Amino acid sequence: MSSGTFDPNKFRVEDLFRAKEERRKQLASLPFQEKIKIVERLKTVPAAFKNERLIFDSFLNVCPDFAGELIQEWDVVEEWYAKRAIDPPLQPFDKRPDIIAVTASGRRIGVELKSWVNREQIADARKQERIQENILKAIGKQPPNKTQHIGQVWLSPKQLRFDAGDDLHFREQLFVFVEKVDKDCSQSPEREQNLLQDQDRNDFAAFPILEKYLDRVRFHSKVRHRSNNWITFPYSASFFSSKTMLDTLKRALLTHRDDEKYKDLRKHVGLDEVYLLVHYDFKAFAYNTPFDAPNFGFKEAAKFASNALQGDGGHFDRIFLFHFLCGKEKAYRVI
Amino acid sequence: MEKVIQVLNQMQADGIIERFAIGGGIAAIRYLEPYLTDDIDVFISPVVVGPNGLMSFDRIYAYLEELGYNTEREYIRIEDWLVQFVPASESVQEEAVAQAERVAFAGEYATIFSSEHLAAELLRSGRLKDHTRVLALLESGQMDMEVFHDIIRRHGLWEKWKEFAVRYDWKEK
Repeated sequence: MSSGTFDPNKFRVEDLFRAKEERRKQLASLPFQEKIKIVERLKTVPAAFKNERLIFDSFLNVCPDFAGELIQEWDVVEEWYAKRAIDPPLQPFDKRPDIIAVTASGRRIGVELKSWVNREQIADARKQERIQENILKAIGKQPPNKTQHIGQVWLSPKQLRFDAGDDLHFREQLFVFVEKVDKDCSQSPEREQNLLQDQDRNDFAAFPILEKYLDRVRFHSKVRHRSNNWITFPYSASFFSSKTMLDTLKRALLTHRDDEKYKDLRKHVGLDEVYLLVHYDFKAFAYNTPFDAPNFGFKEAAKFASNALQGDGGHFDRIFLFHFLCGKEKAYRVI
Repeated sequence: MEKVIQVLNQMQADGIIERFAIGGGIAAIRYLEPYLTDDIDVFISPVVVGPNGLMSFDRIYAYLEELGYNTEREYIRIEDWLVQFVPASESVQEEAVAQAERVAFAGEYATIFSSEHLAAELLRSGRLKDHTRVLALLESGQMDMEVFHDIIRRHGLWEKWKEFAVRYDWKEK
């Protein structure tokens, strides 16, 4: 392929591999001391950039021609400068955008990555997780369930930080309470007919430490539940609407689109185009309420995003929405 | 890495180690494109055996601790680098140290495994990442294959080489 007269239509995959191989050889031929300098720079690249590499790599697999042609080389911003031993632009443009790529025809594209997450929901969920972890730690290894009537115990904790000094008392009181409820069941008239019902209990008057940390405890009958970890927490089943996450998406798109910090990015970093890649990842999947609903999937979310932007990409030439969940990767251009 | 090289050379000058050479990932970087690695494998020879019959690093650790460098798991941290001292207990390692190349580095000299010894040692070690590096070294065109063959024959690695060539469909040009 002639470098003088470039025709993107004649650019083949083999040309990409050849270009990569040439770059590899070029780097390998650097003096040892210079290569070690590159390694030392790479060591300073924080973990966040490694995640960005994964996201973009996956996006590129799904959407190799996102720039209208194949990408010849790309890197996470800090690695872009470190690996090529070139001086980055002045702060803050030395760390923006997240990805720098060069297309087959030599266009330099910057890609800013943003996640589609509801941070408030994540903070709440993580707080809940920490509380549950501390309670499980206080309970310790669960003994075999020797109750007559109880299959599983579901704890509903209060939104309260667990004091490590309460560990022992919590465990003691919990097992005494479980024993008490089991005895109560033995005396229940329903017992004879094997009709024990699941029941919520919050009569913690004699159990001050349980009172301190728990809202209620649900006891499930032994008929239905047999589990080794028989003391656990209910699944989160709070009411949700997909609108919450769509509102989050709209807010994120409009905020980033018009963010002044991207205004002069092209000029300062020497880019031909700047793109925004909004990704939905495992964090959102795990901690946020779902965005999807019957007859409303990721494709519809992309349409929603496109409508929200109304054809205006702000400081970005193109905007993409990327579903970054293993095995379910999908990407749509929304501007 | 300058400091590490200075410290290693000083240790040799002070008689703490007789011979040493850098192998592993850092040695591979001498021949290949640079990539991220945190640790430096320093092969030392001869192997010092303590009174209990086990390999002894006492002198090395005591010397470095006096300089303010402390252990971190199986490593010693020298500035930003984790340095692991590996006794050259295999014959191929011993020869790799003895015949290591002197490479100018920041006003000092670093002794580094030759590409042929490095590939032979990686072949012996045999982990997947070692094999990946052997392939990269072979493809880099920086190895003298006659020298490499001679090394692997003399150190009983020929069978491993045959297996490797079949597994990775490696054909010499």
